[in-house]
Amino acid sequence: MHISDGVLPISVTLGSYAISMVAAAWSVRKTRAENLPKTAVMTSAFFVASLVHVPLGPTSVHLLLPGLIGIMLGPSAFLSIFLGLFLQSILFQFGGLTSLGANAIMMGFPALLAGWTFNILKRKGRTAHILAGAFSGGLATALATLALALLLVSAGEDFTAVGKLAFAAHLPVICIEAIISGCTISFLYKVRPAFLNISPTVLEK
Amino acid sequence: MIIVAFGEISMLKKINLSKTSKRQNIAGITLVFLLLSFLCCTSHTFASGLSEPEAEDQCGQVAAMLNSQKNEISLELRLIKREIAVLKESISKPGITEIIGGIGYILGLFGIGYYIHARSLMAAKK
Repeated sequence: MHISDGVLPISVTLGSYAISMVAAAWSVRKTRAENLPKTAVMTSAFFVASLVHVPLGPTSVHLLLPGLIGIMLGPSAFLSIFLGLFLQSILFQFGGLTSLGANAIMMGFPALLAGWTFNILKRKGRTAHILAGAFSGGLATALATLALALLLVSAGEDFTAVGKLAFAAHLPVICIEAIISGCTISFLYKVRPAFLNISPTVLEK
Repeated sequence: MIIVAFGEISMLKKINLSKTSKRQNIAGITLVFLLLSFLCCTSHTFASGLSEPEAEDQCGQVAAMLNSQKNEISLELRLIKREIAVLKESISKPGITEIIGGIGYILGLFGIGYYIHARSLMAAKK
């Protein structure tokens, strides 16, 4: 799910660049130095995830992982996604440099929201964490699809038609992302709870 | 046709021999021969004395042959186009070099970020 070069009108392109630059700067300010290695690893995961294609009838869709990035990184997620998208557009020719701002908004804000919903929804216990993670992961992808439809409307497309098409194509991705987010959080809860900002003492109780 | 042509040439030969010199004679014969061979090539149907339905039938055969050739060529073209599309896709697909390179860029950039942070920490300690 990337918007290619030349699809969006110039005003939208410039506007989305400005917004994403501000958001990226805010994200950099919010990133703490001790979280940098984690951010780097998650950025790499996001960068590579778009190569994992899910076959879907005649076409195929790929993983996006904004939810998982948001859950893991919190406010640093926007920086991570911006950098990941930049390298994807340079090295993989996914999206494009002019539409980088729009793509960053499309994936970055759902990621931030996913981090926020995960923090609100999570309760004590592993199952609650898994459910909150799965919901946030699915929600972020659904929101990214919605953002894609909204951005394409500015290019003169019909919202309901594009929205329906994008949502139908990404329904399996939403499910798969929810499962992946749930599994990852389940694994991290057991292996390294500090990644989810849970102190080991809480875990022992 | 050829027999007729030879007959004409021999007739011309006789006329020419009686009127002109030997050199002009050869040139004239060559010219007539060329003209006749040209006629032979261009108006084959007339020369071969085919009736109209037969000529039409031959035309139809030629047209059918051309059509079948066209179909074959378009089929091959379609195959080639498909191959080109597959090739394009495989070229545009990122390879292992791009993936490793991208991960390297990410780790390197975050490394630089961490280095800058560490330098400011060291400066603060001093």
